Amino acid sequence: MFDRYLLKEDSLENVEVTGFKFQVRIAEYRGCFLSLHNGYYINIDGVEYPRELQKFEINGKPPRDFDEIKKACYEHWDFDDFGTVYVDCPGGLSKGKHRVGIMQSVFTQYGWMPHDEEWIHNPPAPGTVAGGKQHDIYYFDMEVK
Amino acid sequence: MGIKTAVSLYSLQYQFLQGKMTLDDIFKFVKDINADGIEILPDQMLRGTPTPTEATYAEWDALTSKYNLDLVCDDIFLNTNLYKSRELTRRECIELIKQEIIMAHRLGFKIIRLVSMTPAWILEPCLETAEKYGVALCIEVHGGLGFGVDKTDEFLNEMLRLDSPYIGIVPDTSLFCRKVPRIVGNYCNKLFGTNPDLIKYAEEVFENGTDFFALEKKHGKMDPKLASLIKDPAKDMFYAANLSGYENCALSCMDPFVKYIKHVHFKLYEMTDEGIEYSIDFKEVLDYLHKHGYNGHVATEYEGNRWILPDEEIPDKEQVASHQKLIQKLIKEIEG
Repeated sequence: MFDRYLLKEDSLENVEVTGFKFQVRIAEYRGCFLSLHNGYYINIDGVEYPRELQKFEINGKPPRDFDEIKKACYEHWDFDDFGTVYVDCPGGLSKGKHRVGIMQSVFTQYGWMPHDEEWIHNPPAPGTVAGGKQHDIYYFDMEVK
Repeated sequence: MGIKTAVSLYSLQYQFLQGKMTLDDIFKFVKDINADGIEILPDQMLRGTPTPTEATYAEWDALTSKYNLDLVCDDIFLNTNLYKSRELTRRECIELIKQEIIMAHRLGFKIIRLVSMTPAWILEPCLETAEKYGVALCIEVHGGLGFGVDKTDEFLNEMLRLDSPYIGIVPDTSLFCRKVPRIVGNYCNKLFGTNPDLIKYAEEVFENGTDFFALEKKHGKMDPKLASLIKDPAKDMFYAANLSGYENCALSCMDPFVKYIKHVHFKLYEMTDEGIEYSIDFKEVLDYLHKHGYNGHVATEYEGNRWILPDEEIPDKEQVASHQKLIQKLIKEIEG
């Protein structure tokens, strides 16, 4: 839907020693409760960084992994706020341009779906199903300065 | 009395998201194009919903006093999948809806639009709260999720059973597409390379007076000819799967429920250079509403924004202004 606005321009940067981070919006037309947020498919220059390597920072709280995020049932991510995704990647990314493929997994939907019984126990890996209004992986050209 | 116009602020979400327009700018825009009122998704434009801070409420109060627009409809959602161990219980769902009723009242709205697929069993337990706060609970009847869909039909039956002035419907004109939206086919063809024969077939189906929701019902699965034209799922499936959201119903489908119409979504996909909407004949919709004595609001809900190519600007303000010009003119003609 607004996939092209998903990542904040110029927000890709290394986090000293531990990895890299970038800023994201919600791939939806509204805000969401955090427990509906299931992580990201991230592919940078052909290398995938699974959910287990990701943390998410929002609402002025320290970055949390997605096992913590899924318990934040009544904490709201407002529509017009950027969140920050941190990715474990010792040494970070090389300086210069990178091709960033991203798909956000957000379970905002209309009512209880047949797959929900399975998903509350075994949420799908980000990138394997549509999430929010994002239907496919979207690619950005970004630069680490 | 008479039919009044409104703008769903959803129509301008891109301006808001990009920080190009504040809520104040949006209210001013709506006032400047002579619409009577607004509809809002609090979860989109009011921070901290469904429990905004007093500071947020104070900003809202200042805006509503400044522009004096009718506060028409509050669009809410029910996320029954919040927990990662189980579905929300009925009691939890009911409490969430009650919380939304109280917020709608505080904001000044008398109508809540419940998103399609909201379970009918929330109605009776929430009715006392709805009456207390003077807020009607209305299901959105949207193309692909409307008449003939089990959960919507259950809601409509419960509405008829309870027969309360605090329960109603919000029909969406995606039910009345006389042409399949052209903007969707153009987008999919240019972005994904969708098969032109598939798009042409979709146009023919609507020209023949039917739609893909109806064909899917008839066949019990995707229309076989549509399925046969999906040559490459990566290019064609998104367009094909999206088609059932546009229906080509007769307006008479609303006849049994007409007294329950509290508000109407005037869906907008594409205003043409001629000043008409490409898919929907708003004159026939307004004629129908007028004939049935409707005197509520009709709200522009611009959804063409999601079908603009990534390298193009979204012409949301221009589209909304053009649509309002059309419907305000039609209302004048029809009501005299």
